[in-house]
Amino acid sequence: MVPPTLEKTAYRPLERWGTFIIMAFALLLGLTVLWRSDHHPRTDDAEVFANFIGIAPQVEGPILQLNVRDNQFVKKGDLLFAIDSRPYQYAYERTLSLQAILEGQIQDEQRRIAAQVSGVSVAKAGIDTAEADVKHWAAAIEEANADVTHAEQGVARAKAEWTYASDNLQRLEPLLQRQFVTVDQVDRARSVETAQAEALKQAQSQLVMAQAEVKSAAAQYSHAVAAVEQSHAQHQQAQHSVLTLDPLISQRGERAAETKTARYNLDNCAIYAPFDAFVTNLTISEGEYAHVGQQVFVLIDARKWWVLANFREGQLRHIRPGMAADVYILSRPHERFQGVVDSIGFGVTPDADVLGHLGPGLPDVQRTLNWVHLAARYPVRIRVENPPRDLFRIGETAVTTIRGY
Amino acid sequence: MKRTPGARRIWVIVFYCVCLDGCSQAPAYDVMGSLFPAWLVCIATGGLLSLIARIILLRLRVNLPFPFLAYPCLAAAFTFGIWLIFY
Repeated sequence: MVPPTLEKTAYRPLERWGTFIIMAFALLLGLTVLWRSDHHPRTDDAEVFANFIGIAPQVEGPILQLNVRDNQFVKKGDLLFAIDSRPYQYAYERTLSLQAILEGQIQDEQRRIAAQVSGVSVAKAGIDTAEADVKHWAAAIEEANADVTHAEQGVARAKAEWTYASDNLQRLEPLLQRQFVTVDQVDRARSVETAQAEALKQAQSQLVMAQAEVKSAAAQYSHAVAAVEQSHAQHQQAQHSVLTLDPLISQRGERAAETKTARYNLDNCAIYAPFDAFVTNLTISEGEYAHVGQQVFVLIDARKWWVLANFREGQLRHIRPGMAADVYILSRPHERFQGVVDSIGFGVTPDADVLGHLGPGLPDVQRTLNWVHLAARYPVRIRVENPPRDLFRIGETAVTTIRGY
Repeated sequence: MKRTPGARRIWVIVFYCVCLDGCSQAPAYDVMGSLFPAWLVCIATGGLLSLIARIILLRLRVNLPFPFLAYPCLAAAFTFGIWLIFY
C-alpha cells in the first residue's frame, strides 16, 4: 500500500503521461470532429418539402361529383371532381349549329355568285353582239358607198343619154321648118329628150338617196360603236358587282375557334389529377359552387420529395449539386434515406442590421455594428431518392448530412 | 498498465465504426416533442462516462496529475468519440 503522502508527489510513469495522453487524445478527436463537420456538413435545421399546387377549375358551376377524399393518394389522370357540364354541352351544340348555319350561308352565296358570273357572260355576249353590229354597219357603209358610185354612174349615163337626146332634138327642130323631118319625128325626139331628162332627174335623185343611205349607215355605225362601248362598260360593271365569298369564308375560322373553345370548356368540366399526388385541405362536398381560377383543394406532388436544409455560408463550399446526402426524418428516427443535393439557394433576405431596410431614398445604414457576425444560411434543396409513399409529409423536421460524391 | 489495451480496443472500435459509418440513427432525439440534438446527448454521456472513469480510476488507485485538466479532457474525448462513432 502506497502511503498517502507519496500519492501526491510520486506518479507512476504511465500516470504521469496519462493526462497528456488524454489531452492529446481529446485534441485529436476534437480536430477530427471539426474536420468531419466541416467536410460533411450537417444540419438539423431542415424540413421535408414537396411541390404542391392549388387545383382550380377552368369553368364554373356546381360540383356534381367529388371523387376524392381528403389525404387520399391519387394517380395521374384520376378523376378528381366533375362540374355540371350541361350548360357547356349546350354551348358546344350551339356553336356547332352556328357553324352549320355559316356553311349554309356560304352555299347560298355561292349560288348567287354563280348567277352573277353568268350575268358577266351575258354582258360578254352583249359585247360580241355589239361588235357584230359594228361590222354589219361597216359593211353597210361600204355597200352604200358602192350604191353611191353606182348611182353616180347612172347619173352620168342618164346625162349622156339626155345630152344625146337634147342635141338630137335641137338638131331636128330647125329641120322641121324646111320640112326635112316630120312633126312626128320631132315629137318623138322631144319625148325621148323629156324621157331622158326625167331619167336623169331620177338617176340624180337615186344618187341623193344613195348618199343619204351612206350617211344613215355611218350614223348606224357610230351608234353600233357606242353600243360596243356601252356593252364593255356593262361587262365591267357586271364583273365588279360579282360578290366574293371572303367575308363568309373568313368567318369560318372564328366559328371553328368558338367551337373549339366550347369543346375545351366542356372537356374542362371534368378535372383530372395532373400527377401522382396527395389530396390535401379538401373541405368541401358535392354541390359546392366552383369558381373559375379559385382553388378547391391542394394537391401535393408525390413524385418528388425534397428536404430543404439551411446550411451556413461557410459550409457551402463543401456542398455541390449531385453530392449524396443522408436524410433522417424525425417521424422515423431509425431509418436513413438517401438523398442527392439538387441545388443551392442563391438568395435570402439581406440582414436588416447590416444592410438596413431596403427602400427608396438614401440607404439606411445602421450606426451600430457587431464585432461578431453570424453566418448567413442558405437553403439547400436535397432530393430524396426512392421515397416511400406514405412517409414523407411537408413541414416534417429532418436532419441531413452531406456525404460527398 | 490496464488502460493501454482498453485504449487500443477503443481505437479499433472507433476505426471500424468510422469506416462502417453504419448506425442509422437520426442525430436528434425526440423527448416529448422537443428535439434534442445529438451533440447535447454526446456531451451528457461524455460527462457521465468521465465521472464513471474517475470513480473506476480512484478505485484502481490510478492518480492522474492535473485532474482539473485531465477529466474535462477525458469528458471531451468521450464526447467527441461517441459523436464520431455514432453520428
